Amino acid sequence: MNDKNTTLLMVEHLRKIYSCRFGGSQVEALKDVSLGVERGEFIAVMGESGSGKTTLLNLLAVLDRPTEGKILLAGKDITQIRDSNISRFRRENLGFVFQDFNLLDNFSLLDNIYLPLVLSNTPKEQMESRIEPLAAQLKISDILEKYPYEVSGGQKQRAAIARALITAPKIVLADEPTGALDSHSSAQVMKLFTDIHRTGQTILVVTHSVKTACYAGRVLFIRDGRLFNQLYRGDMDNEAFQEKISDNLKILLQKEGLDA
Amino acid sequence: MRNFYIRLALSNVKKNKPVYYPFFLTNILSVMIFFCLASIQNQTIIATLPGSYIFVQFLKVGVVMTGIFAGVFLLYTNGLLIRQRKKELGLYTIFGLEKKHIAKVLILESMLLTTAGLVAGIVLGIVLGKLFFLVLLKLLHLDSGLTFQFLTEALVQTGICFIVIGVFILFYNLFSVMKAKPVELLYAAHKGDDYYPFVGLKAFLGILCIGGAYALILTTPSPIDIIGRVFPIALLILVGTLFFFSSCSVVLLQALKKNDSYYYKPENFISVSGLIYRLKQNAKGLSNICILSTVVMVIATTTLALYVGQKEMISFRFPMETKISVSDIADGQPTLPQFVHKTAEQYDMEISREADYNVTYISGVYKDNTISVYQPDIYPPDMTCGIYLITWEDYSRMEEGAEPLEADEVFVFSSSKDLGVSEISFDSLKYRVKAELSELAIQSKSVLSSETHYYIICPMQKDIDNILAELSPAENKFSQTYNMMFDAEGGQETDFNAALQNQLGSSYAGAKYENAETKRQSDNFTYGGFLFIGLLLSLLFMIFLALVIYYKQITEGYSDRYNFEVMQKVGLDRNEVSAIVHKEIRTMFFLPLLIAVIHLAVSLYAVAMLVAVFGLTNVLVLLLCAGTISLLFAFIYMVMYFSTAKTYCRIVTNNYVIF
Repeated sequence: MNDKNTTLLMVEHLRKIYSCRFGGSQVEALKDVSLGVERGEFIAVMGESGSGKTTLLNLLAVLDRPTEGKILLAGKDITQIRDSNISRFRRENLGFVFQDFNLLDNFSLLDNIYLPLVLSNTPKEQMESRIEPLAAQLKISDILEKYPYEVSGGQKQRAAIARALITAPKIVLADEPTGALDSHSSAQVMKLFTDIHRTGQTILVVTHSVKTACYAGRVLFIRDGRLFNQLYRGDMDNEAFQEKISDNLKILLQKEGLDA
Repeated sequence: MRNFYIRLALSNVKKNKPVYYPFFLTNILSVMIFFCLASIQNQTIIATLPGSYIFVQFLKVGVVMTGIFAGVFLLYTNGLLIRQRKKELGLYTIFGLEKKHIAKVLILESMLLTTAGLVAGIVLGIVLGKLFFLVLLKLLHLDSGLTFQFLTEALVQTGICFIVIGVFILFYNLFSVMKAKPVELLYAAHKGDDYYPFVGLKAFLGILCIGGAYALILTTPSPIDIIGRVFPIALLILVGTLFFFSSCSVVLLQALKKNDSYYYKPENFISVSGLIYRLKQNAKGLSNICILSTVVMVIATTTLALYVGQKEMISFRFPMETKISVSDIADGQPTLPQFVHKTAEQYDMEISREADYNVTYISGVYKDNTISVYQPDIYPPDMTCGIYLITWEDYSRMEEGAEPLEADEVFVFSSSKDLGVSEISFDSLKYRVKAELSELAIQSKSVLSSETHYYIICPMQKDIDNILAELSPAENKFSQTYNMMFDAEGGQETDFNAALQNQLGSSYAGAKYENAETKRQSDNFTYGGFLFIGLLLSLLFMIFLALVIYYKQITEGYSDRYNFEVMQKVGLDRNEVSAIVHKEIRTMFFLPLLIAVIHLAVSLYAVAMLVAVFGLTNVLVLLLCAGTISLLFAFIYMVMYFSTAKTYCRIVTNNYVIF
């Protein structure tokens, strides 16, 4: 955060208020959140349900507009993008990984991965040259011709990651990427995220699982719409970091208990 | 507890509004049409009309057909409904309802639907029946003072028919729920349709069937033969269309998918894969749409052409307005022209055109330049033709400046296809054909005509006697008459005709009187009735068609919704989504219409022959009718498409929440 040039994503004083349609009650989902993400960083956002992490993710994905504040991606304020350009912006700059994969059953895995490229009218040769190294890295080269209903959850998620990466996005946003997976597949997927991160890809994962968060380089904790605190991994290995995150969560929860 | 089931049944119907209401509406409209047809068939006034016998018979057939089609169709759409509802029924089992309880709910539900459908349909039928009856009277050119009566017979028939259909539907539903396991009811698989096995074979069979049907149509030798072929043709087209859509669409889509430069374009990418994914469902829907469209257009075209073509048919059968014939004229009796002119003077009528002639008629067979007497045990009935022998003298009176004939020469005239021969034999008696006449005042000519009349103009009466001696036909196989045809003009036409018919019968032996006007009236009854039944049946099929299209759109809408949600998440904006949606449904929606129009175009050849059997030989009338009907149909189809496409778009682009 100290060097502006290496900062990819800057969130400044973000506030989001949901109000009921007929006026009356208002819910302040985010209260003055500021954070920065360095280029090539692997960052996890943790928080209980209702803490505001999904709201934050929706704002980062430009699916929703903040009530106040700015979001700068590579120096550009994405909250100001016009509606007509949003889909294009999302397609070209952001990669998404979802909890429930969101693969289309009517496409083979290969076509699912191609989908964002096809939507941008990318030539076939270029698509082919991009898929090869990616499929090899994600270990899905053999199952590309299969359909989503024919493969396991872990394989589906790896295909979904390939779809997020194939456009070479500035940042990958992942929402509970291990939420629907067993522990073995979860570990596999998170190791893949680590590998991808090593190639220089910026990744932001939202999760409430300590096991998932401990793969990240930095963990942010959100509570009641505010940033609570953050932890850096430093030189720790996954186990040590996991313990530290757990301890921090305990403090977070205790505090919450006191508040209540 | 009883109340609980009724409430559950009621709320089921209400909750499944988008799928239940159209089904319900179709039920009501089927009841209505059935009831209208049944009431009109039972109207005592109809039976008392002259020449209504055929019409009443056709009405009876129409009623039965409506019942059968309504049954088949309601069962079919019910099949779609129950599939949609399996999840809900599965939930009930999870919540502790036993199968017998579910059965109770289903029984109540179907009782509810059947009763409500019957009541609403009959009420609507009574209201609209009056309207339909007025339309019928208009078509039949009848006095509109006749009133439409409400009849209990019609009510009972309608009730029985639709209660039977309701019971069938109920049994189907009970059976499909009973045999299903709760787990199956709960989870609908995300799996796409398998590719059909034997796609190549099916495509081949489809093309073979359609080709065969077309070949059968196009190779029909004469109009009368088409009647025997109608059923196989319809069957082949039906089967062929089913095969065609189920296999050729696979072949086509797979070819498109293999073509990278086509497939990897945003619109095509999504639409092609979507279509492949729902192949089976899609193929079934499309072939149903295609077949229904074809049926509607063929029925409407045929009945409309017969109605519009009445005048043509009359003028074909009556080259002149009136035809009289007598078997013999006693000595001293006035000739027919003298008689007609005298009567005309009395009534101030003017004879504008006339012809009188002696004719020898033989029920014969024409084969390889040779005419012989028709014998039922040797020749099939469709080979019979009328042989008319006329002397040159009579001929020269109706045709001024007729070329003379040598002793062994004749003129020939055929009412259908030209003979194109240079010689003609009566068994072994040979004549040279001096010329084949292209027209004859007393007989119209049409290639399509179903019954052929051959006129032979012989030099002398002696030749006719010789021919008769050579053929020596049995007593009932030939006749000799003295005929006259004429057109009369003037103010007292009705009186003149009556007087003429009266006096003719009383003063001549074997007198026959035929007038185009009386024929016109009874024809009008038959063909007006045809058109009426055709209209109602077309209406029924249109309703079915609308329902099939609607269901296709909404079921696909719901199954596509998720896909479009995902696509919006990975970067496809709403406008692009709706562009793709339109492309996808458009491609597939106009294919059935196109095929149906092709079916109609080829069937026109068959329809032309079919109506020729009824005497309509003017192809132009038929083409005009077909053109009008297909344009009108295409228009209605478009309206259906746009209104249902809107529903589809609304479903797929419904609000979505991403994370």
